[in-house]
Amino acid sequence: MKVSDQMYQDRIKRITKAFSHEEPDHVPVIMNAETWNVSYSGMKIEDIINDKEKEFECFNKPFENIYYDGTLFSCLSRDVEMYELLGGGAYFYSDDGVTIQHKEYVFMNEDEYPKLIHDPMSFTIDEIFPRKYSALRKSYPENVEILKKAKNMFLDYLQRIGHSAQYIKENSGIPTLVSGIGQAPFDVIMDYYRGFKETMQDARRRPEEIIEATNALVPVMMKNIKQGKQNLESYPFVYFPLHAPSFLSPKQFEKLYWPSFKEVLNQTAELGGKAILHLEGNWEHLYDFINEVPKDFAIALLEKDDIFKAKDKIGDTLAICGGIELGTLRASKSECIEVAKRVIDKCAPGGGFMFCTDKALLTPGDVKLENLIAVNEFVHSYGKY
Amino acid sequence: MIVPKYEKSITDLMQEVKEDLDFLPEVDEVRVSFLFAFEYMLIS
Repeated sequence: MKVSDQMYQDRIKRITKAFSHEEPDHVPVIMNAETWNVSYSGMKIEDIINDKEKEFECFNKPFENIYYDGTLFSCLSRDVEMYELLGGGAYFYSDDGVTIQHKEYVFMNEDEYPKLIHDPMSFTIDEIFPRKYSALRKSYPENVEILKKAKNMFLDYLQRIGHSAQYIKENSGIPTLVSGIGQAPFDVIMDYYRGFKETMQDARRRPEEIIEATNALVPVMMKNIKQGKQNLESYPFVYFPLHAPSFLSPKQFEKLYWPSFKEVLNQTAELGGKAILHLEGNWEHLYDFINEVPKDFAIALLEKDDIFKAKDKIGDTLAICGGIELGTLRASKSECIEVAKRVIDKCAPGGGFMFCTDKALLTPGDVKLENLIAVNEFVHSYGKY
Repeated sequence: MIVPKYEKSITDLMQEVKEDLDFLPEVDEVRVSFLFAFEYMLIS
């Protein structure tokens, strides 16, 4: 067995034990980074978009100098070129070529909920797609030829996901924690159909239609999560980026967001899968609901929640992943170490804890590199059980 | 919002894409699964 194979197995054991509220040998240190890997490697996105090897090298390079036990992602999360070929979509490169940006569009009218509820996929494919992608409005067969090219780019993207994870496994012994993406149906409506402002209006004016639409989207979401499989593996995990709850009251969450999302989570658990719940924003007002999630089914990846409060209130149900703000990593090294020490002292005992930044690393200025290196080394050594 | 009429629906176009999946085994379930993943990527 190669050194990297043994390290890889040790790290998976470390992560899965922490996940299940057992004490591993060390607190796992998890990387949450995307385009930062590219700038860390001295490149811009345009340097790697048509060069898989370069992309793999970029996502592997940080592991040469910075301690980690695992990473959420092993390559770019979007194929922006595919969306551009189709003449639309919501993703584009920033002017400085350093990050992938998202722009919000409203593709569905408020009076179209009945069509979404009746048949989400047919409505989306035949009515939303032509609004979203100008290439699909071209004459036949020009439009289908573009669609076939986009399909080939999607295939290439799928292969990149698998090959990049294999690359960092073989070269650095680092496991990639995410194998699939899930979403809450309410977020799907907000992100891809109605937009933030309109969805929040709908929540007040059309709550019953939102409830019906979120229920109609549950089978769509499960099909996406299952990826054609009958059962799911318990590792790697299904990643759920969760957007809206920070802006919903507990009453709105309970009525509009939670029932369909809970159904998705329960079905994922019944199929044997486990999840990373990325609690974007602040979820402290929603902990009673989080405690309804099956025990040891998920990690809560925290953003703005107080980690000590989260450990206390939901830490018996879910493993907690977090510990340091990007802003702190731009302060002095001693401040960073002090924060990390306090977090480990309070959150590590008993397992159920992994160390991570509060947000994804995207741009070169997100952290002071020497602090990140020092903190991760410290967490690995001080976080020994 | 006015919904224009097209020569072929996008569902029809997707069926043609499904016929163009030679890199996959000729198993309908596999092809349907790939096509759905592609469609979901276009939703998101």
